[in-house]
Amino acid sequence: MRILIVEDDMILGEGLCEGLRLSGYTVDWLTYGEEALHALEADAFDAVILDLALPGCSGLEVLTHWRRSGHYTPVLILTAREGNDECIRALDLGADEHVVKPVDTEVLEARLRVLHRRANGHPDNRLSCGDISLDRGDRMVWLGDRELALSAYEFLVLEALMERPGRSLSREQLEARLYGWEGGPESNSLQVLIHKLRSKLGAERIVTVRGMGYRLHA
Amino acid sequence: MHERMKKGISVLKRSGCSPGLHQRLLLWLLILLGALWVVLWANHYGQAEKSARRDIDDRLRSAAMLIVQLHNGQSQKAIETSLPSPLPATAPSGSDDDRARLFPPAFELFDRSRQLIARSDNFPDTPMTDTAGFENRQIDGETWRLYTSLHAQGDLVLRVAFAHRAQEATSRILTRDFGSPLLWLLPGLALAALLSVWQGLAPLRRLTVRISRVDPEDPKPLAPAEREVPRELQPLVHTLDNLLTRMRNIYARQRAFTASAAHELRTPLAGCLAQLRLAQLAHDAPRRTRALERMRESLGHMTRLIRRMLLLARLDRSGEGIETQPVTLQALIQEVIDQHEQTATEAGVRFETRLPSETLTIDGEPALLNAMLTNLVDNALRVSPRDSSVVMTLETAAHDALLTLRDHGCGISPEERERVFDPFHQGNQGSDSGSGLGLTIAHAIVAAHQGSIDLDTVDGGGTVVRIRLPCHSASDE
Repeated sequence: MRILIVEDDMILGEGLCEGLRLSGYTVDWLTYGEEALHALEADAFDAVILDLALPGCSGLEVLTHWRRSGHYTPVLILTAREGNDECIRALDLGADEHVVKPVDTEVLEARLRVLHRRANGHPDNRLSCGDISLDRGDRMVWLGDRELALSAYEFLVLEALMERPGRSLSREQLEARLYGWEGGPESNSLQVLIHKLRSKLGAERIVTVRGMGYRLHA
Repeated sequence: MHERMKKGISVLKRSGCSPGLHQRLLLWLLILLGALWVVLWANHYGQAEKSARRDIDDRLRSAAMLIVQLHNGQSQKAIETSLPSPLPATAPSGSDDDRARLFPPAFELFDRSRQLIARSDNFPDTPMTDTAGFENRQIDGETWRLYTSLHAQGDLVLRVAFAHRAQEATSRILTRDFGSPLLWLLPGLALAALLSVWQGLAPLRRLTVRISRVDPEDPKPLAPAEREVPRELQPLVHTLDNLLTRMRNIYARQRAFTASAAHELRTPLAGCLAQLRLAQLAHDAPRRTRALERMRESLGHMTRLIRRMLLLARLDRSGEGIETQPVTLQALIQEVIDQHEQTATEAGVRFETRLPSETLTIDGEPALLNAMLTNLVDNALRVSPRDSSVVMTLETAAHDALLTLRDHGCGISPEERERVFDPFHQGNQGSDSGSGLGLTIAHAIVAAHQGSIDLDTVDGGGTVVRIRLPCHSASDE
């Protein structure tokens, strides 16, 4: 799950970023409102954490711009201001969730999973495809009744593939999802991850689509 | 109406003012009306007595006239025919008083030679006098009113008498006839007094009820309809309105301050929580150390903020909480410059001072004055470009010390100048290193010292802060 954080406070931004990364999410972080305006154009995020009091361009302006330009990525508003008026305004402008600081990172993660789930039409944290099932909350994967031990990156790849079984994901999409803007450690690391996943799930499960990328065989 | 009265009275009771306006007015009105009534009553009593006496006298006189005329008329026709003697007195019917009152007068008629001509049988046996006129006489234990009239024509002496009882009866009847309305008047007046006091003070009660409905959490000035009160109450309503408006403003400011304070604390608190989780989850020592370091920064920021808010809370009591002692302003300025020397050197800014030779001393709390000046110098250093100066001038104006601090930054726009002293207002050019409370605190400290502070942008760029503090110069002491 790839998340964009727009937060101007350095300590909070860094804490959220690192915390979410430790929990296995791919996170990118912006501090200025103007930067955030065009962030959704080039990259696909699964959810956005948006602060409202941003230097340059307020969070509500950013949100309005996104929704007007047709970006429907789930947005979680993280604000320091308590008050119904602002909450209502933000939700009416297209925000999906409104959270007042301070908030525990675990709670924030759970809320992000809710947004992600809803955006993809899943009723709970579980994804399944044939006899493979995956739980996003507990970050566990089963093959039939057997629990599989996957690394964080392997989990991310499988999660991405399982969100749309049968449809292919390009190399770039998968890499963006894995590493965000920081880029991968090596150019063939994705291939290594696919190889490891195939050895754990069975080679026939992940199909290479020539010129397109990979897809999960249901 | 009754219910409303009850409610009104309970409202009055709740207000607990010792003797209430209602009671006081009613008491005075009752005393006044009572006195009036007593005077009326006493006057009436006296008048009844006098009228009864006059009435008896008139009756005696007219009876005398009638008898003499009758006698004269009869004696011309038959001069020798004497009146039957004695004449029977016919008593009228009716109540005792009526009988006593309407009883015909007793009389006796003599000629010059004391020869009895006629006499009624109820005439008392009493010796004769030669003087004409009225007299009271005690005969056989009863008082009589006697009228003696001497008539030259026919040489007659006529005496007419009424028992005093008749006068008393007349007096009693007069008293009864005119006194009973007075008796009825007494409760009537009391009731009228009560009603008029109640009615007259109705606007006051309405106002009381309205004021008792003012929500202390959200005091609103009275609505125009509620402000329609008698002229005498207008100043009260006006004062009350002002008070409510001021309370409302104070509440609004306090709420805004609390909201801003919460807002300012939430972000560092959230950062602290996020870093705490990071410190808990991090597998490697460097990452953990870094997270803890960030937490310390965050806590430090919050501590500074809270300390400043507590200082503001202390200063909010308009100077009551400060402990004053004589403070020499020159020394204060030098102290603050010394504290900021290093920061200024690093920023490439130099201090210039123009101080008077005469020592300027004010009564104030040194730590607060230092904090005030520190906040201003901090701000000045933050906005000053490299190789510029911060100029501090001290002079006397009337009985005040005038301290000006000028920087060469980009100044403050007029619209922003009105808001710079608001809590948590951060200027555009300022970096995020300020808490947004510096100028608010400076303002509060100056106000607590009965001084004034204002900001202005000078020609050629830069901000000038002028502080006026009441002082006593060295020559005064």
